[in-house]
Amino acid sequence: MFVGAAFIRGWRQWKKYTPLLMCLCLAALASPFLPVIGIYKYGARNWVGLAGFSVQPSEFMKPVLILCLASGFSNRPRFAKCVPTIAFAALCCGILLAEKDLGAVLLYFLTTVLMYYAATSNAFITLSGLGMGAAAAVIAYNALPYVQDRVAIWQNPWIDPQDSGFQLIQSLIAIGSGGLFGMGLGMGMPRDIPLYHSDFIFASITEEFGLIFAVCLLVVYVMIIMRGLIVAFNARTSFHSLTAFGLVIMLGLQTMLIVGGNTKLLPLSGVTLPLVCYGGSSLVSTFFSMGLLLGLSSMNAEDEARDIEQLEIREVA
Amino acid sequence: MSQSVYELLALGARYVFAGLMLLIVLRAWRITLVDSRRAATLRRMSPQTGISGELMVLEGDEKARRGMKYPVIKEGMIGASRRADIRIRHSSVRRRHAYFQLTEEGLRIRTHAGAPMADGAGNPARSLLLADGDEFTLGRVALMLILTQAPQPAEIHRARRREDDAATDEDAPDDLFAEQPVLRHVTEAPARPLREKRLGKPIDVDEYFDVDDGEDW
Repeated sequence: MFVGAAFIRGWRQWKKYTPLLMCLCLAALASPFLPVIGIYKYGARNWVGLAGFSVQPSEFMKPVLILCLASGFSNRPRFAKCVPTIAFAALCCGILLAEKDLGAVLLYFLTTVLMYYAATSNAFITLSGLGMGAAAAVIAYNALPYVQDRVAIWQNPWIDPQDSGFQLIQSLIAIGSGGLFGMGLGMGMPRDIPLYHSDFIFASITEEFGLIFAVCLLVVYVMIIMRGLIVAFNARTSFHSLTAFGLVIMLGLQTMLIVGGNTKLLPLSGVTLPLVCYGGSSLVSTFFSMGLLLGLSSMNAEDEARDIEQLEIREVA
Repeated sequence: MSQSVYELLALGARYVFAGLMLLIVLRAWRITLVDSRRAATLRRMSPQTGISGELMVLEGDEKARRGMKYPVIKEGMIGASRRADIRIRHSSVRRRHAYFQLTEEGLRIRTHAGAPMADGAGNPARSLLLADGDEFTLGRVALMLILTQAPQPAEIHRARRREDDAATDEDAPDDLFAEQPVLRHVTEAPARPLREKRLGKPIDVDEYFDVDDGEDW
């Protein structure tokens, strides 16, 4: 978190170093393809093993993507000037699709589209991008069997309750069992849900702590997003404003995807609930993002204090 | 601890957890409300932002070309920086060039830190009182003021005549078609010089703008 805050406060010449950052990001995302260090885990090849630790590069590259997008879209450029940045984001999505990390693809794609719209207010290009994304989703559904499985299970998990639908069914039973106040800490059976500590942590929390607790948890996320948007509104440069916007949008999308997956509102994706799910890469990445946000907030506060002082000088003069 | 004792504790603790979470949410909401009230107070303190007219470029180049117009609010700062209320992007216009304020007599402009300004006749000035249609120069950019909330010309004329009479200039023409002085120079030093205090080591906003600016917002 400290690194994030210090980084955003100290980084001035973002335009100059953005190409280098983009290259590093692409290299990091492609690193799971390397035969020595790449790891295939949970149906996706998006892990890297280093010195006994396994890390997920797509998690660390989330704030980097946002910084690159903010730099490329700042100062409201024309579409032609945005093409390199959009191409970079498309490359990232392509690499992640090849790694079968659909959740990250969705996150990266939606974040790019929303940040572009926030930067340029160009509804035509934004809707075109969303349309192309929808078309790509249809193509992926027709071409990739695991996508078809996920959609089929999302529509009706009971078609295969003992195998592919088991996880989602257990999640729904757990959420229903919790009631308003939950079954009590340690009194539920969240372990019946596969990957209860990572992908289905929300269902586990709802089972043991209840609906009120779960809704309050979601309200906390909403408040973080609200205050992040205020930081974005008060930022003094378009780069900082877009960075803050991108960070909270990604946080919100991630929360929506995982909670939606747990409650069968959306198909399951392999994203994590920020700051709650088990996962070192996600935790470090989220703390770095929070550090960026706090750094931007501190810069806004200093600018505001200076403005107030200038107002007082002006009134005195 | 036996299983039954733990069960009792767990059943009791679930209400505590729910209450704790509700408390966190309420506290966060209260902080948000306090911040929004503070922001509303700051907005009240900030200069009035109603549009009172516009500045039109008569002569200029670079990114301040002839014909460009800048909306003029009731009070603010003219300069080249992004934080300026009237942003004139020209190499001869400083980041913080002058301050302006709409008064009953017209638009009063005062330069900041000796920035170059001249009246319509080319005479250097530190402070100008402009009426609708008056011309002046900031740096090398010639501008004309168009006021939509200006006092009527007759009122300005009467105000100037009162000041001219007070100056005991008996040779001042009393003819409607005689050439009237376009601007009134206020060359005396302000009561309290406009100065900037340094807040420790503030972040230099110039560093924010060390970027390749693209199109305007």
